[in-house]
Amino acid sequence: MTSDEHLHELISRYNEGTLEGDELERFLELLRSDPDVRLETELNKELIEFLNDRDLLAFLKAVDEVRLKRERNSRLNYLLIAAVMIIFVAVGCFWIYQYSMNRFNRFPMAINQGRETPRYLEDDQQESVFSNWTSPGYPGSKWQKEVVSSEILSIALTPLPYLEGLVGEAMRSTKLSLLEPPFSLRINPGDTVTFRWLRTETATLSIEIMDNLGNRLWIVEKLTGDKMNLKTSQWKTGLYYWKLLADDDIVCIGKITVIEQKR
Amino acid sequence: MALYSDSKIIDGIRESNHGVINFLYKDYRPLVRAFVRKNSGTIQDADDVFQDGLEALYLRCRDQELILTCALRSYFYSVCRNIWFQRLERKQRLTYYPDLMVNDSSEKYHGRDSLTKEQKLARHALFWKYFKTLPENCQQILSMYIDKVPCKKVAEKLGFTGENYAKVRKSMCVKLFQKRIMKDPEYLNCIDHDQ
Repeated sequence: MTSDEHLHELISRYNEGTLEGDELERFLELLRSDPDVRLETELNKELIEFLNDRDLLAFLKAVDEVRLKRERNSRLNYLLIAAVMIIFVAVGCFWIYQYSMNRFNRFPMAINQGRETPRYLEDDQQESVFSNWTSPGYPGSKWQKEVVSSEILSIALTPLPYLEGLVGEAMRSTKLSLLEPPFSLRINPGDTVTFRWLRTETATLSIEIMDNLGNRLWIVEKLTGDKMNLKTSQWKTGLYYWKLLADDDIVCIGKITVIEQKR
Repeated sequence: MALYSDSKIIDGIRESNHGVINFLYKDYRPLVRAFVRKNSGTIQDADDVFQDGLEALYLRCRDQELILTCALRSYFYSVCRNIWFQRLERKQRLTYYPDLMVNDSSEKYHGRDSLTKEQKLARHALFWKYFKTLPENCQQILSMYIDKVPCKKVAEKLGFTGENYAKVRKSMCVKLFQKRIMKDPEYLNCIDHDQ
C-alpha cells in the first residue's frame, strides 16, 4: 500500500469514526499540521455526506433528466427549423428555375430556333395569318373562350415584364435609325402601323411581332426599302411587342397596344 | 403546458416531479437568465445559477417548512439573485487576491458567512458533475454503499472475489471521485480558504 493510499484509508476511517488509539492521535496531529490533509479530509467528509443524501441525489438526477430532455427537444426543434428552411429554399430555387426556363422559352432572342414562324406576307395575306393565330394570351383562342370578356381584356393587356423593361432601351446596332413608329404606340383595331427607318450601313433588316406572353406571332425578314406598312385589321385587342433587327442584332424593341379608343 | 400553483410546485419539488421541474425550466429560467446576463454573466452562468437555485429551493422545502410571504417566483428569483451576487463576489475576491490560498485570514472577508451556502451549492454541483462521470461499476458500488448494502452482498452482486475486495473497490471509487473533484479548478474557487 502506497503512502497516498494509506492516507486515503486513514481519512476514510477517520470520517467513518473507526480510527482509534494511537492511529487517531497521529492522524489528528497530521490534520493540525498539514492543510492539504485537512482539505482532503473535509472533502471526503462532504462527499460521503453528499452520497448519503439519497433524496438530494434523486432530485439532482430528476433535474438532469429534465434538462437533457429539453436540450434534446430544442436540438430537434433546431433541426426541424433547418429542414423546413432547406425545403423552402429548394422549392424556391426550383420555382425560380422553372420560371426562368418558361420565360426563356417564351422569349427566344435568337431568330428561328427551329420553330415554324410565318414569314413576310403581302398585306392581304397578313389578315389570314393573324385571324388563325391562337395563343393562350391572345384573345379569341380556345383557352380564352371560357374566360369572361373583361378578364380576357385584362389578360391580353398585361405587360410582359421582361420585354416591358426593354421597350425603347435596346439600341445595339448603329446600322440604322428608326424614324417611325414611336416605341410605345396605342392604336385602334384595324389601324395601319408604318415602320420607317434610315439606313447608315448595308444590313439585312427584319421585324418580329410578339404577343404579351412573348410568343412570336410573325416575322418579316430581308426587308427592302426604307419603310413597311403593317396592317392590324385582324389583330385582336391586346398588347403586342415588336423587335427590329439588323443582321440579327436588336436595334430596338417597342410595343403596340391595340384597343378601342374614343375618337 | 400545465400551470402549477405555488403549493403544487413546492410539493412537486419535494417529490422530484419531472413535470414541475420542467415547468420551472420553462417559466422561471428566463427570469434568471435575463437577470444574470444583465449582471455580467453568461448563459452558462445563468443555467448554473438556475440549477443551484433549484437545489437551494429543494433543500429549503425539504429541510424546513417554507412559509412564503411573496409569490414563489419572486422568492426563487431572489434566491438566484443572491447566489449570483455571492458568486460574483467570490470570483472578484479571487481575482483581486490570487494569493488567498497561501495566506489569508477571516478578517479580510466581509460577508463570509453568507458565502457558505453559495459555496456549498457550487460544490454540490461539482460533486454531481463528477459523480456522473464515474465508471458505471463505481457508480453502482457507491449507490450500494449509499443504500448501506453490506460489503458481502456488494461482492456477491458485482461478482467480486470477496468482501475485502469490495471494500477496496469502494475505497478506490471514492478516491477516484475525490481526485477528479480536486483537479477541477472550480473546486479551488469554491473551497473554504479559511480552513
